[in-house]
Amino acid sequence: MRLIKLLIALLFTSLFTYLLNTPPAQLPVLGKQLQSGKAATLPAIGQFLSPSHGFWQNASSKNLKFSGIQHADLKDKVDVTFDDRLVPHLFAQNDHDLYFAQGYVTAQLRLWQMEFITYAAAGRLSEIVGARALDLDKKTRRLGLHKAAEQTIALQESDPVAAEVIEAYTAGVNAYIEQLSDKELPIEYKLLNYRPEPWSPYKSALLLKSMSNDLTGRNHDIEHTNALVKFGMDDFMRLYPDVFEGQDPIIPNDKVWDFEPVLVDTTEIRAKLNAEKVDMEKQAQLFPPMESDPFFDRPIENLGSNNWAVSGERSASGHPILCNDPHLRLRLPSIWVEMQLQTPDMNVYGVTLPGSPNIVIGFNEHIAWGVTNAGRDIKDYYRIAFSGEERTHYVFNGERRPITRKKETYKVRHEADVEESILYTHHGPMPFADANTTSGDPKEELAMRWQANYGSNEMRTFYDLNRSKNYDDYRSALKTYECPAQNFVFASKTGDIAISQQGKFPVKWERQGKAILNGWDEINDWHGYIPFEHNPYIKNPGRGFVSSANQHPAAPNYPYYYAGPTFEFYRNRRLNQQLSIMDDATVEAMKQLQNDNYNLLAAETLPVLLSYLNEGDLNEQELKAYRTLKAWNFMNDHDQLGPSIFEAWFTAIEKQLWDELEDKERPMVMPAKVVSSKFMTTLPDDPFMDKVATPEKETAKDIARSSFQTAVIKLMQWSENNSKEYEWGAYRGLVVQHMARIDAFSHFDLPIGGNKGILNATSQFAGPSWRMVVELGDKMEAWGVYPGGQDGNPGSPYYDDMLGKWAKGEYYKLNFYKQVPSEDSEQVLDTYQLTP
Amino acid sequence: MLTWYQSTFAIILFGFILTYFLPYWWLVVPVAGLSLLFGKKYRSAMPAFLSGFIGVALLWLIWMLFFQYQNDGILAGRIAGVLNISSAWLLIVISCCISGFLGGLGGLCGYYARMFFR
Repeated sequence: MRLIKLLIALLFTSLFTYLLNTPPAQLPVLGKQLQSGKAATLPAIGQFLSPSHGFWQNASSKNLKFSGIQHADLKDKVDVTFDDRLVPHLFAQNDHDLYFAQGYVTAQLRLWQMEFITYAAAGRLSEIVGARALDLDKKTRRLGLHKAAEQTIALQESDPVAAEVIEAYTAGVNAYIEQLSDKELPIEYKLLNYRPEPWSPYKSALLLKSMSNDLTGRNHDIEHTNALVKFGMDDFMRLYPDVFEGQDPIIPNDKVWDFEPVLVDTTEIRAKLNAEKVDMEKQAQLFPPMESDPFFDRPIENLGSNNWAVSGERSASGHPILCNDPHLRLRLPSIWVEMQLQTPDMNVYGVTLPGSPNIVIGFNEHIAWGVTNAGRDIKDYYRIAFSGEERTHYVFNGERRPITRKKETYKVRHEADVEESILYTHHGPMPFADANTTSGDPKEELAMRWQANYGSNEMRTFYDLNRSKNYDDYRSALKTYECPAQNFVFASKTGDIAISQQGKFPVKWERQGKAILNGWDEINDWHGYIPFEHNPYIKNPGRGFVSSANQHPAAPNYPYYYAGPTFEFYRNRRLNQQLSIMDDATVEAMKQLQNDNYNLLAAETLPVLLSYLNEGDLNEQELKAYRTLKAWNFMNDHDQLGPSIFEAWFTAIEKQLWDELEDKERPMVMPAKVVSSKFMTTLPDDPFMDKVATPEKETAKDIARSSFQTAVIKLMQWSENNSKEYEWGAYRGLVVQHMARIDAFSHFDLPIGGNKGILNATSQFAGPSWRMVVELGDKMEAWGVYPGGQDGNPGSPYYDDMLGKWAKGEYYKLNFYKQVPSEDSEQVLDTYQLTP
Repeated sequence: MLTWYQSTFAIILFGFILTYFLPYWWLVVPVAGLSLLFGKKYRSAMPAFLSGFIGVALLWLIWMLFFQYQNDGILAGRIAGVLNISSAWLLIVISCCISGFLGGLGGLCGYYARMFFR
């Protein structure tokens, strides 16, 4: 009897311990059902809740203490100092040790984030979350970026400098991972119940390719084809013009292009073949209607950036000032990590992507630089002519060519591996095709040529920029930069300012790739690349400043054809208007400009729109909105009502004006805001004003009136549903979302103004991801802020500590040290050494 | 012979030392051990269970409060959010109950082992 009681007690204790110790998805019977859902990743509950091993171990204090290590890979000691915002300052004796330390420290701050991004970019999320990510992974791999990352590491290996950097960085990350005990794992590993794998140069390469997808993935080829077929070339070009009238390009209009362009001679080709072959409209008519897939064609909305540099002649201090604020997806942990890197030969400060060595945006003791996205179309779809039903070959230039099948293996958590092939033509991968089955979707016959799908050594560019001392160094550093193409703004202590649009751009004939191309004629292939020296750049222009805000790079007299799906028309013009009237630019004025909420679209459109309304026709609520708009100062401040009314009205106008574009069979994209604005203000009787569904013939006035009613009703409904006034900040909404979309780790509805098309370029999911102002005086002085914090740990006081200041438009003075600061300094939070 | 508070203190001390280095479920070992060696005063299974429950729950409570204090409650609040629990304090109470139950079972094992070997 006593034995039985003892055995029962032991049995219950073991059973309970087993329950606490087993992840739910691995429980017998019940577990199987959990494996395909969200519960697939749940950790063992006892371990997770225990203060000795679970999440509590990540509850760090404000007086954070980090620890260094001793590692045989190091040649000399590295001093690491964390300042009071947890910005690490690394002081190394040589390059190798510096990048080892950068890898180690970055992993210490952001390991989960940097690894998770690479899992996503490699199409391996199913390994973490199970079968529910399998479709996403398959799509990701059909983008082909993981293959491009493989090419990138091959390129890096052939460059001894890049190879040393990436190998040391990788060793540093791995040194951190190796000494990491279970209880010290970042919280997300504990929540999702997995462990980090070793880092590799391939993962760093994936990161940049994933950035290329964010910045160059957007593509309107399918929608353009639909529109071209429906409206014909003339109307198509009115809706989607290559150039906007009145545009203020990056390189001032008076620039003379004194080179002989490498052109695709279309006249010769037209003569040799026939005119139809380079006629986009005739080509488009060959293709059936298709519907694009947002995953491939709209990776993220509303990305962009501002950068500018003001020369010493135009600044109050007489020194150049350089500014940059890249507008990216707002994420926690933040997309950027801030750092200072120093060796006896170099001293550089700025931000980089966790997982990528060097500094991407920043300054050293001689120069400062920043980037904005070029936004040129470098992604084209080709319609393939299969030869035979089997899809083993396609026709090109009248010849039969084999389709390459590359096998992909997907590891799925809790399940057997899945294998599938991806089809490749000489253009590139066929992103919509399933290797084994066909659904009859005409998209399946598309192949994609995309510059992001090639290996490239951008890491070398940043390595060289970090060490640049003058304009020539800067220009020479850019030579290795290919994708995603950027506008590199530059200023030096010696007084030079410059801007260069750099990337690898294909030479195209006019309108080539604006819509889908036929993939069986060589004339439609890319014909070489624009030489480095022919890319748009300018040094010390007469107007005393250089700037870019994602607009067209150059005036129409630039000798190469290019197009882009989302060129800016308002932010850039507001920026240049403000810069050109500023004779004594100060750091303070620059900060204000980065936070400028002036809505130029509204300023240029609203007076005409309001003139279409008659006060007498309006009901009480409409009248109130009308008067608010009349009194509005065009500032998209977060607590104003005017911006919400304008936004709701303009959105309603777009919907009614472009009702012709609503076509379920042939989906199309909205024309740019500038196009809608020009139609409404200057073409009131245009045939597009007519609403297809009504017998009457509408004009701009009718559209303005009926859309105003719609907008006011919408705003009233919004207020009712949210039980508050439709103040702009709340109405637009803004989420800084945790990367794994965990709401409790995210921030919602920060009080911040701005909008897309406004210098303070906020939207619901994107915004200024790093604001930096550098004054290049005798001593470099810089200010910066980003929406997040240095520590990737959601349990850390430094996870989101900069959000408040960021939303208010305030900055931190950046601590740019000449040598290792004293440990007693108030700015210093923690120090350690890495030793050989 | 240990008084109840000596035994609670011993559970907290040994539980802390053991689980600092070993997996958390080693908590049951000091509880069972104490109950086996010094459990003479337990006239029934209930006191053995309760003593284990209280000792282990208290250990977790103190430990969690320490983190709660040094972290200003940031993480526990967020984790409560992730687990759809209304507050960090409720999460702490639930955690104490779970660990306490494990401790209690450990106490029972020790008690019945003592009965068996007596």
